Amino acid sequence: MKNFHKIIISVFFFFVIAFIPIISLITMPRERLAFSENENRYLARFPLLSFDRVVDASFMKGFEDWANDRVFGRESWIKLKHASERTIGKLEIGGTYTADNRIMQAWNEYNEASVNRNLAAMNAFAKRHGDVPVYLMIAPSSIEIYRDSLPRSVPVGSQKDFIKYCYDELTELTSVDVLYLMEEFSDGYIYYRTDHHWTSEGAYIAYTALGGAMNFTPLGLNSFDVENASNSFRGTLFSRTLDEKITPDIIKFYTLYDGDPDVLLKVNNGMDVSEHDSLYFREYLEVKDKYSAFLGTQVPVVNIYTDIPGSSKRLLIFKDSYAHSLVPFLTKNFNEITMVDLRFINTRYSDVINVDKYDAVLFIYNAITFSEDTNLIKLGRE
Amino acid sequence: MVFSSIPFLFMFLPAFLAIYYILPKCLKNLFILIASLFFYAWGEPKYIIIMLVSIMIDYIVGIVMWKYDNNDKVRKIALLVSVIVNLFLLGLFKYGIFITDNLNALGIFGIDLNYPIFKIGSFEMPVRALPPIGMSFFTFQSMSYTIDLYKRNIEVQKNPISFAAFVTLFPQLVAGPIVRYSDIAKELDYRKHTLSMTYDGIMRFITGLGKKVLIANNIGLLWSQVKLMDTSELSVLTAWLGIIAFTFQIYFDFSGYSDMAIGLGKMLGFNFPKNFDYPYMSKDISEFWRRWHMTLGAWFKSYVYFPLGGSRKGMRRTVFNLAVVWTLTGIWHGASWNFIVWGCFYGVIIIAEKLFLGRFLNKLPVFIRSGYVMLLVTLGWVLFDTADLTTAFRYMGVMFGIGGNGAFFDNPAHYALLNFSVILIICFIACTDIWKRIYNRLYPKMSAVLNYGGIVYQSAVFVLVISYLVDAGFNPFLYFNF
Repeated sequence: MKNFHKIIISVFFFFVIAFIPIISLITMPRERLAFSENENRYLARFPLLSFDRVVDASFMKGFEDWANDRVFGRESWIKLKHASERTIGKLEIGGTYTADNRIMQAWNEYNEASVNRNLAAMNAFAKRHGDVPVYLMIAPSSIEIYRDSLPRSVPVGSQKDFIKYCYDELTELTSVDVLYLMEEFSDGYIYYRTDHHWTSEGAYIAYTALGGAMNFTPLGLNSFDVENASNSFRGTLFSRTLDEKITPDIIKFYTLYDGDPDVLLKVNNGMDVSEHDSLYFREYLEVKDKYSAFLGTQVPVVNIYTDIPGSSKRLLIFKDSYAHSLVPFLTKNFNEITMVDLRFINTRYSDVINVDKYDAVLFIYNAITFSEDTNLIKLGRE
Repeated sequence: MVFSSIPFLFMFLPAFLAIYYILPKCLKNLFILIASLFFYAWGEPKYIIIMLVSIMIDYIVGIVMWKYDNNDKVRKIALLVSVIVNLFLLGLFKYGIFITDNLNALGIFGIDLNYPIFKIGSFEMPVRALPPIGMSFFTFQSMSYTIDLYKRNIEVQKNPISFAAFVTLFPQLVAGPIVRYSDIAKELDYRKHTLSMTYDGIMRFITGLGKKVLIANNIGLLWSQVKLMDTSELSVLTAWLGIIAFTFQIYFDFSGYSDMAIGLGKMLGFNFPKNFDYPYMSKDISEFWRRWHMTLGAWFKSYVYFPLGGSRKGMRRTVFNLAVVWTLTGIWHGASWNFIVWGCFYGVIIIAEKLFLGRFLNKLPVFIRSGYVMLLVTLGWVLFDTADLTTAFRYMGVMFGIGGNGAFFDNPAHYALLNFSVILIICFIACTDIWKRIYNRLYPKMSAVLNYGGIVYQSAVFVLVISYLVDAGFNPFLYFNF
């Protein structure tokens, strides 16, 4: 048949354009809000429909965003794109750079106005709760520490300058510097190679820095038993580049030699509260998102009660996901820790927590999330 | 809605084609009209009124010319009405802000004029800095009908639905090619839908998608980075790499969109005229403009250059006519001094080629002529896509070592080469006809291999395009605002 190839491509084309929308509709997540871990943002919601919104075309814009975000196999399509970019030798792929067996999240500049708004809101918050000491730690991300492994011409912003800029703006908070320590220990395994978080070692360094600033005594490394919980961790940055050549990461749990104290976790995911009796959610070690083995996935509020005889210290933490590998260390010094993720809080913060009952408040963010954050301003109003 | 988007590809297009193929012939044009209006209103819900007014006037003008076939005076007046209304709408909505700004800058009125605004009761349509989508295209298409009708080159279209379907026909509505009524007059009322047409249409559409999404968007990233920099931060090489990137971006963007339009047209049974013919392989600037945006050049030739006498009224008149056409071509591209200077720049070169340069060029080897064309075209794009004339001339200065950061090679240039060299090489190859020539030579010997190879290749391109559309970080569309 002379024309058989014409039939094949026609059938293929029509099948693809008809099948993808149908399967997308069928498999679409039912909840109105869906969070993309890889992109660290909510997927677009279905837009409101009204006459005005049609006339000014904002409905159409919203509809297009919604349709884009709900395509069947969204993550796989994005992976395919990044794989093709890698093939043609692009250095920056999906907002990452790769060098020396390490994938790093790209970062170049920040929006000064929005960062200033956040800092002002934090100052106002700290002033409002004047009796409670408030601390801020901005952790550098791996690209700051391993910048020299990249070609000199790659545009990388200085997180050192950014962190200093932020710290200088603080009037009511105490800053806790961790950057110089991370640089000092840069030969160690302090950042994951395939994920944008710090490792437990990196978090331990931050823990010691916090001890000095917040006046508690951090436990020495020799009190911990290190368990290699998984050595096949491929994190969020791997998901972007799909570069199989990068060695998978090791997830390590630091538990006390004498056994960890008893803990009770109350995890509030915004809908209901579940209870757990361990800091480690081992079921996540079996799936892709292994970092969630530390205190579970990102949720609005987690309360952690630790049985430390003869002590009663309470710590409130506003955080991004960097806190999750750090908090297991802090539980050794604080009886009650409440972690609040402002990205998921849409009411007034005072509806969710009573700040004044805590002995200290800690903001812990990595530099990139902090520079892009749009939620800290929520603290500006009571 | 742009063709290279998820909503078009996975909602509008499948729904449209399914219904279109099922409907009986007599309803197909009506459905094209309804769907095209929806398509247009999706991007431009308010200003669609302007298009509807233009269609209505030109339809009525057509009927009047037909009724008063023997009365030359009425026919002339009817034509004038059409031309004046179309040019007035275009002048107001495309150039309103630009003209007001320039008048105010001159200050001849003593007071600052307000921007024009269109008001009916509480309904307001302010003139915007950017014209309604596709306006420069549909007014020209619509005018081609009344002018050709006046010249008795075509038959009247009595069916308002067919006429409105011609103007609104969504594949070519927003960015061309500029399809003249005479191009598709027959197909409007009698057209066939065959497997071969559909096949050609799909292949062409995917080619266009690939050019736009895989090539233009990718190389456009480089230009968008360079464009953000102040001219004083640029090194010589960065400036060159940036504008070379734009040279490729605009070609693959615009010709890709034309390919998509032509492909979609074929799926619907229409044959639209070709719009690009490997323009970057031209050997002089006159040839470049016969191969770049061909339907625009042809439009100006038919409706401006020839009526003015073309090249038949002596050398002086020819030079004048060319100057008019090229100034208008510049203005057509947008309401800014950059475009006017850009048009005049080409006018001067083309006049020079006509007068003496052409004879001289003919004696030179091909690669020098090619270099001559590409150098001028690239410099032209600096005028075309920088914020204002000052920036444009500063940018050109940096390209030749005047101003900038004083370096020839620096970090941004190094990074651009590291990041984009493969794409640049792909661009160089893809804007020549080398692949086409190999294909044509091999086809008689191995047609089966090439046929099946072709569909495998296009399927892969299509899948890759989808992946780029899903992760739609950077998907501008250059000719949308012309």
